[in-house]
Amino acid sequence: MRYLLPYSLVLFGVLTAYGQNDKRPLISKADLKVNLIEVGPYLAIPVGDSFISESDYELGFELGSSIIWKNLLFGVGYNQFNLKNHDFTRTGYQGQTRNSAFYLKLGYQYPLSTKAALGLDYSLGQATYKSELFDSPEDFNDNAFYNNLTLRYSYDIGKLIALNAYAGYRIDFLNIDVPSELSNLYDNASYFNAGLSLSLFVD
Amino acid sequence: MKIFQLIAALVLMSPNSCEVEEPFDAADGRRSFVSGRIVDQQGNGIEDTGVQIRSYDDLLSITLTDSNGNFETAIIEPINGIRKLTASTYQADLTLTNFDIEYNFEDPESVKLFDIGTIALKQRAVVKVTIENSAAVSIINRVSYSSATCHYHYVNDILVHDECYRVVEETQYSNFNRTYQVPIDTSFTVTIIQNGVETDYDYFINTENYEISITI
Repeated sequence: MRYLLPYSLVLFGVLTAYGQNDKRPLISKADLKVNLIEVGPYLAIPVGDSFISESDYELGFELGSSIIWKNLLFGVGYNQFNLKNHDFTRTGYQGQTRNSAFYLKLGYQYPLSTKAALGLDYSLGQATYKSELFDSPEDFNDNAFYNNLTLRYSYDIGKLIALNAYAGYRIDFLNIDVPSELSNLYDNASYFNAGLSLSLFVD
Repeated sequence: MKIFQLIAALVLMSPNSCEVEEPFDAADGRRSFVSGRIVDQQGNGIEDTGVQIRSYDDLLSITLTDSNGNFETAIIEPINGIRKLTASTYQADLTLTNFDIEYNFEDPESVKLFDIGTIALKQRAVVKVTIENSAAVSIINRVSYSSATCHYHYVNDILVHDECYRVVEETQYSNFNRTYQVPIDTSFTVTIIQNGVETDYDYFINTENYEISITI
């Protein structure tokens, strides 16, 4: 039920954006940029107090695709990174956790010059924490509702290629059943996340 | 082919087949919690005692007690819930007894806080037993003592058994010289069996180093 409001806001935003432009062709080529693929390293550093906040983090990757219509960005993406768990009092006897997330992205791009732009993105989706038992190949999954607010700087380094640098705050609302004594560690997990990426646009 | 079928049938019919442990398959999206306190005989918390939590042979978590002897840990749950849970010392303090707490549940438990309460560890004593058989006749030595591991067994959260393991060893040496580690303030019995006649020597171990010397 708690996911209904954010999903509704995204849907509302998309429909409103389309509805405002009913006297011209819906999409003109001059207003549209298609980012076929965006890929690069992704770093998520646990912050706050949660069941994985004592875990070591590794560099991951992020990839995505988006369209930029006028100043609005709509996209989908995926990111992944690993956490190494040592404090079993928080996690139980689990070793490595692979954190992966699929998400939808909505953003606003503010042009700074003909080549550079500053953007603010909000992403929401599903995160999966796939954890291995410490001494065993067995694994199990925990799921979470993924939210990420990102500030992005993009710079066109060619006609069809752009370099992006971004940083943001991510919060995963965890869907894990625990006794009330553990709820402070298992309600959500927060991260400061940052990355660099290359975007390839379609002409 | 019939031989294999016969072997399979014998395996399935064997008494142990009813006690086959369920393979560990971790549950998605669930955790339980285990907490407790480890103290010495004076009630003082013992720091840095390693505690391991298992379900059957599967390790669910390892933790250490804090400066007050308290410990708490999240545990990964088996997919079918928790039917058996054991908490025991992980890195034994060689001056204190170990503990071994076992919980059994008729109905599997899930998403639960298991509070194992306060466990008092006893001081260990070293008992040196020497039996000198000067008569050079055939004797059997039987030694009966409490081991340095104490067991607490709960069924559905009710304590049904609370005892340090009692060990009985029987040997047949002319001369005997051996060292035992036992909880302090426990009984220790040496039985000499000579020509079918049993003679008991009973001791109460009340010091850290206790020597027993018997000459036949």
